[in-house]
Amino acid sequence: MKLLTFAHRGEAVAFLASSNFSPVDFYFDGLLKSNDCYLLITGEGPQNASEKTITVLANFNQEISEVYNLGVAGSLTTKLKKYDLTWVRTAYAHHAEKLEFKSFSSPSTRAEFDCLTAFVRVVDPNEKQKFSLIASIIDRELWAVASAAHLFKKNFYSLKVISDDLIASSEDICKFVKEEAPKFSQILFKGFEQREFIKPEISSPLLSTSFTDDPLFYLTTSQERKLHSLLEGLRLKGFSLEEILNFKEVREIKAQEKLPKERTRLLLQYLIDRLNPISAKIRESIEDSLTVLKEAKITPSYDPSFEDDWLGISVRIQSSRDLEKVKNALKIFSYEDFKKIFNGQFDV
Amino acid sequence: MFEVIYVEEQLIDHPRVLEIKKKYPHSEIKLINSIQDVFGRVKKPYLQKRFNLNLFLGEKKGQLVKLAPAAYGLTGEPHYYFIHAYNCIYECNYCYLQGYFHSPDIVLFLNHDEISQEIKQVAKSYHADHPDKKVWFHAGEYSDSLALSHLSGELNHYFKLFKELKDCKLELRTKSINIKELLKEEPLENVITSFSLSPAHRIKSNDLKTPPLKARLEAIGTLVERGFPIGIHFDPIIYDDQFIPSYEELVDLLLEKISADKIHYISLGVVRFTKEVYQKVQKNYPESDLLAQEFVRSFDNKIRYNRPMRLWMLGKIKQILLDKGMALDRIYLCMEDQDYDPMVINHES
Repeated sequence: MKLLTFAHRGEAVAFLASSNFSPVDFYFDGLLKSNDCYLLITGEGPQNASEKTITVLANFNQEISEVYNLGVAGSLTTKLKKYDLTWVRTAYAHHAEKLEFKSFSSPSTRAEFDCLTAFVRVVDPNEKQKFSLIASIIDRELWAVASAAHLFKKNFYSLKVISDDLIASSEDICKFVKEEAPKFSQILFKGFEQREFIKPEISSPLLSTSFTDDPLFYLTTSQERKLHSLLEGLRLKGFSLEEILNFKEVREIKAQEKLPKERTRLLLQYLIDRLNPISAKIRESIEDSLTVLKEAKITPSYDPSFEDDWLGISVRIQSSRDLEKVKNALKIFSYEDFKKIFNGQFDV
Repeated sequence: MFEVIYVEEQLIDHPRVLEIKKKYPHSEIKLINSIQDVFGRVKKPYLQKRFNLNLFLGEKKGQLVKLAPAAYGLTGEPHYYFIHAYNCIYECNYCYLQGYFHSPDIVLFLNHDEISQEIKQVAKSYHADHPDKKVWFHAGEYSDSLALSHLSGELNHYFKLFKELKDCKLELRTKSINIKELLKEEPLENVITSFSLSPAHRIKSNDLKTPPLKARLEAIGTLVERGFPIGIHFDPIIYDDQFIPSYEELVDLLLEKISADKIHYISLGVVRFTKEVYQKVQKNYPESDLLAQEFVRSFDNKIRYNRPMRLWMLGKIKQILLDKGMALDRIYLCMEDQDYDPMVINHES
């Protein structure tokens, strides 16, 4: 479901007339709902826009998938004249006499112009000139709405109709909205209805569910995360889910007589090695170099990220025989061979 | 190409500015006091460069020549870089520039006289203490050295400078095939054009918007024929299933254009990122197979392959180069910890 935001009711009249909107009983007035969208009248200025958009998104986070800001804006370029319509590319802001560093970009592919949201109304031509170095249009709400959308990880889109420099120079915004609002609203509505370039997001099926839903495996939350990232890695390397499920080794792991937890461990290790064959080879070479220690019941440890070449050992000695075994193993063990692997000398 | 050209007011009549204005009659010209007033003041999304690229023309202030990081070039000689531009027209998906300036817009600095003075000063001070050593200067730390050379027009300036500075070397680092301006110059022994190369399929998937391998090799061939000294960077090296055969093929193709003894140096560098740049890669290129590689945080906090893997990769490529006739002393590692230099380790073994 979409959330459409407008500063003034006048800008929304064509939208309100197009669908069967009804008021939502909420913390404040101005929130309406139809079958397929919420419509919010934020009031003028970034503080109103920010507070109200955030409150709506916090309450209807699950329902709302994308956020729109629609309304009038002043032009800062000769390329945009009164009644021109434009999708906004990036939202910038000017606040407390300085530019806000943070910006928000819309995924809209047809957007060509950037918008600067001014926290106070701009009437000084020199100020406008300065802002024209940053953006082509100026408004009072977009950056705040985009910031709210970003907070809730929603895509935002913004369609603006140029009111020429009225917004910037008029002392009486209400008068302006009353007089010309129906026309601007119609233009906005027409442009909004033609937004065919905004494709609904198709969420890819979660690859990991093929395993998490399978009773042959038991995954903890962290294992689930790991599995998801491994499958995503394999997908980026060009493997489809079908191919992954049909890896001979995966089928063998599934067929093994093991407890689900153990099967999961084997699956994760296999996918790690499949995704990173050289690291698998490194691990194998290190383990081989440590065989002599392990045979003497010495437990070796090393940096799991392979970045440092330290070797740790622990051993329990309960007899003279044990001690001799350990001594012999340490004599035979080649620390140089172990170190060589960390220096990139191993066979692939 | 450029939607807006921002020009610092004092440069409005600069011959280079007039020439650029003539080349881009449809670009809007905006006068500004200083590049710093606009460039990087707000965060402009990196990928916006695909649709909206602006050009800034100004003068570089502050330090114009800087000491390069350790392990930047051939060891034993000091390396400096000078800043004549910010940003690049290309879009390599591993590039640190996507996280560096907070804006992808191109900046060209036009105060080459001042930059030259500082280069001379740095060289003079260094040679006062080390009269026998060469000093290296690199162009292209923050931009490609040749890609916009037809616009920036500074090559002639630096060729004249380094003709005087015989005890210094200049490296022009590039992925471009824009060698027209270079070919107008007489080759100098101490001005080395160095090309960054990767296997063809990696260029296609990682060096977005750059000339393909074949074209870069052609450019190398042309420059070799005309007597220009050439250096090569195999950087960044990225692992995939075709790693060894693809580098064997790359070396073969390279040596068809330039014999091993004519390559001044080959530097090898395995792909690496700061944490911030890696996050940018995740954001900007979520479908890149770079994100399917197993990286760790390494000795300098950069994100890299684990140590055995990157040393194995460097060792393999070094061996390919040695087998095909490249001299060991012309191969060096870029940005690797010299404590475990596989050039030394593998050579001794």
